[in-house]
Amino acid sequence: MRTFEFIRPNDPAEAVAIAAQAETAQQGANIRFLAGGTTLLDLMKLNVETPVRIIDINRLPLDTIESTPEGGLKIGATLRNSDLAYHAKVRSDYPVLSQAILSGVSPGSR
Amino acid sequence: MVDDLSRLELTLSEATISDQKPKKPKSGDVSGFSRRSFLTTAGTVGVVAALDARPLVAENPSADQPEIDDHSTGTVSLPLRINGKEYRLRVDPRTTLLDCLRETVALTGTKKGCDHGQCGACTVHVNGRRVNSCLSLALLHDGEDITTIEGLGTPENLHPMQAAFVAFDAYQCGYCTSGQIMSAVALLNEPCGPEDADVKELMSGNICRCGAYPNIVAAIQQVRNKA
Repeated sequence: MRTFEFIRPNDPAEAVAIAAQAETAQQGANIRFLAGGTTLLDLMKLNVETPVRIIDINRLPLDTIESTPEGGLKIGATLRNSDLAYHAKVRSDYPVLSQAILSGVSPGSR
Repeated sequence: MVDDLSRLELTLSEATISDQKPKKPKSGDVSGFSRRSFLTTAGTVGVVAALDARPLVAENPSADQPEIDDHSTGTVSLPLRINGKEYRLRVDPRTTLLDCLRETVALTGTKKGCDHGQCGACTVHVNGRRVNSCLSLALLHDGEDITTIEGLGTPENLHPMQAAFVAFDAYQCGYCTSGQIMSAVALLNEPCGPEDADVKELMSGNICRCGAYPNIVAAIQQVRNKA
């Protein structure tokens, strides 16, 4: 695994500004956001992803879920998959989403 | 020891690390992450910990027990709270929570089965929720409560889940067992239906090569029915 600079931004605007310095967001990007990390770290161990800067977004206030006026859901970037899948409104109004999440990854990685 | 660290530091330059090709896993090396590759790519704190089994940290830091710092390049300081104890660590940023627990702090109850989030042997609790520690950076967890199998109970004071695993013979070789128990305890606080099939689904991230599954499910159901 290539080593990296670990950055913890103070707010989402700062996180976005740092990430905007990357040339690409596709595979091989040199700057990556890090939330849970179960995909990014997995690929970093295989040297498929080799970021030199990692932006930790876990401490930002992004873990909420809200209904929108148009009748949809606004899901925060760091809301845990488990919390989303077990959310009462998701279970009642979007059961396929809940079932897909619970089928897609084992409990220790969601 | 200081001379050895200086020689190690010279050989662990950035150029050496970035020029290294990814190592092909040797046969029988399940994780693809051999001890040789760990020694040559990890920070020196992790390296010295691998050579010398004693933990390199001050368990109860005070003014006369400062953080242990080998002055190597590239490491970062990391305060962690593990099983209620405060640790002051200095680790390579690439260190996973799993490797930090096993190699830096020498809490080896948590096991490395696959190192890729598929087997669950590395399951620990972070703020009471189960996490595959092999796919989590240690750096993420300052200020959080980390619980390992060592913090769940002791031989003299077993957690009820540990006692149930013993009573139901829910293990053979024992390698998956700490992860099974940590997952099972977390499951007690998760929405889980009453049937064995529900338990199996929520325990599906913990693999047992010895096939102790029926007894594992029985142990968990016993604890749940008592609660």
